[in-house]
Amino acid sequence: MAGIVAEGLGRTFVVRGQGRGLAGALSGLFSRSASSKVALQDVSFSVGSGEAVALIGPNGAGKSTTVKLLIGVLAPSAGRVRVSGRDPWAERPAHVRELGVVFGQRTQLWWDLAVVEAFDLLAAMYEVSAADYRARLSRFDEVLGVGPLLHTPLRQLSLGERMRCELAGALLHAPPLLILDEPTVGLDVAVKLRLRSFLCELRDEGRTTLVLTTHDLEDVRAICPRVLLLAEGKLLHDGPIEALAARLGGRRIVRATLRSGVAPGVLDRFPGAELRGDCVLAVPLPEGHAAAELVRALVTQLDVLDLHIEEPAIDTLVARYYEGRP
Amino acid sequence: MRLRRLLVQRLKTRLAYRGDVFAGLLSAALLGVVGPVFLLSLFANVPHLRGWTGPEVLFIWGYADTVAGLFYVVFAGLYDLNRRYILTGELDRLLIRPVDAYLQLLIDNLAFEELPVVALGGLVMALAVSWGLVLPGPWRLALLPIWLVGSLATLGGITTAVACLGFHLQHRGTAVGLVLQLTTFTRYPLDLFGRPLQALLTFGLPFGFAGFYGAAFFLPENDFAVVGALVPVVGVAALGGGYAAFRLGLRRYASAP
Repeated sequence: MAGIVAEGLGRTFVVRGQGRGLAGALSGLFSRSASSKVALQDVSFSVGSGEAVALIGPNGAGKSTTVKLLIGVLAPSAGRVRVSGRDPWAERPAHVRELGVVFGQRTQLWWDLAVVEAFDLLAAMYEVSAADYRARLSRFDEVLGVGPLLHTPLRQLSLGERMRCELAGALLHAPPLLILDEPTVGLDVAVKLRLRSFLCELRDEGRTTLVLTTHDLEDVRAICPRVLLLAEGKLLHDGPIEALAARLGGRRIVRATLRSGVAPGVLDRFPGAELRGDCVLAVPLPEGHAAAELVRALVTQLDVLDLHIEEPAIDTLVARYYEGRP
Repeated sequence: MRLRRLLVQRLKTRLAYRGDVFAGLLSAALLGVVGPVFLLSLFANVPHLRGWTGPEVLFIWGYADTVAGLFYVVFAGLYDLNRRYILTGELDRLLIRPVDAYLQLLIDNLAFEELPVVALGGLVMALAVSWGLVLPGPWRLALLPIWLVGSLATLGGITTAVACLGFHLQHRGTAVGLVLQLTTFTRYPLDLFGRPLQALLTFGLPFGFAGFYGAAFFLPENDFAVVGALVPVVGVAALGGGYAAFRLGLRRYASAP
C-alpha cells in the first residue's frame, strides 16, 4: 500500500529569457539572462494508503510540478517527499514499479503499436504473470470496454478510446498508487462518466491510492472526498470540497419558479433573495439551515411551480478567490 | 527477457513503415559506395600515402564505416534527445517505466534500416583483404568483433555526452550532428592530418578510437597499433562517461508543462 508524505516540498526552475525579435534571438546566442521561477513552495501534506485526493488550482498553480515530484521525474529543490517510505526521485526504479500514471495530454503507450502489443510490452516490463495479465485484461474489457480496441494501433483511436486504453495500461501491473494528470480533459460526457465510475470503483476497493489533478470539479465531486487546492505554488486548502466551498463563502441556492409575480414585502422574509426575471426567485440557504426548512417556507408562502437546489459554483468561487488575491 | 521483448517490438514498429526501410537501404548504398570508389581511383594513381598502401587505407575506411553503421543503428536516439525528449518533456514517458531510461532511449529509436551500412563496411574490409591486405594472425583477427564493439562504445559514449549538453543549455538545436562531422577524418590515417587535429581526435574528443586507431591494431607493423590496443578500455570509459553525463543531465531535467 502506498501512503504519501510531503514535507516542505519546493521546486524552483531556471528560466532563460530571450530578447524580443531577431536582434534578441541573435544576442541570445551569446548571452542569455537566467532567472529562477518558484513553481512550488513549502508544500506539506500526507495521503493515507487507499485514499483518493484531488489536486486543483488554476493553470500554473504547481499541480503538474507536484505530480512530477510524486512520480519521481523531477527532483525537489527543497523539502522531501516519500511514497511508501521511498524517495521517488532517488529510488525511481523501485518506485515506478508500484506506480501507474495517466497523462490526459500525452500518451504513455506507443503511437505505432496496436494496443494489445503495447499491453504485452508493459506486462513484460513490469513482469506481470500470464494469469494475472489475462485476468486483468478481461476485467478492463468488462469495465472499460477495451476489448474491441485491442488490435487497433493507438494513433488510430479516438481520444475517448485512447484514454480508456491508457487507464487500462496504467493499471496492468496493479500499482498501489495511481496518478492521473487531467485524465478527463477533452473527453465527451459519456466517456467522462464511464471513467469516473471506474475510478470510483477502484477507490471503493481500497487497494489503490488515487491522486488526481483536474480542472473539472465534477471529477472531484464524484471521485475525491478530499481536495488539495494549490495556487501560485502554495497549498491553500486541504480538506473536503464542501469545506472549501464554505470557506470561500459559497452557499447553496434554492431556486423557485413561481406561478405569478411576487407580492411586495414577501421578498423581505427571505434574506438575500433575489428575483431573476419575473417568476424566478433565488434564495441563498442561510448557514446552518437545512434546505428542507427553506423549501417548506417557500412552498407555504408562495405559489411555487418548480424547485431547484443549486450547488455552489466552486469554479467561480475559486476563480474569484484568485483574482481577489493581493 | 524484458529486453528481448522491447527489441522485438521496436523491430515491428520499424517494419510497419516499410517505405522508410527501403529508402534507408537505397541512400545507405549510394552514400556508402562513394567513399570506396574514391579511394580505389586515388590509389590507382598513387602507390601510397605517407607509407600507407591502398588496401590499408581501404581497410581503415571499411572499419570506420562498420562502426559508423553500428552507431546509426544503436545510437540514433541521440539525434533526437534534445528536441524530441528534453524540450518537449517526452522523457517523462521513459522515466516512469521500470527499465533504465538511457536503454529505453536507445531501444525506442533503434534504426534497423541502417544495417546495410554495417554490411557495406564489412564488405569494404573484405575488399581490402582481397586487394592484397596483409592480415594479422588468426588470434588477433578473432579480436576484431570486440574491437568493433569497443569503437562503437567510444563513438556512442562521446556522442551521448555531447547530446546531454541539451539538459543544461536549453537550446533548440543539437551539437550532435556537428561533432559527428569530425568522424570524417577518422576514416583515414590520422598522420595525414596536422598535429592539432590529431591531438583533438586522440585526447579531446577521442573519435580516433572509433575508426583509425581501432583499424590500425589489425594492420601490419605501424606505430599506431599500440594506441589501437587501448580501444576496449577507451570504449568502456567513454560509454561509462556518456552514461554518467546522462545521469547528471537527469538531475537538471525540468520536464515540460
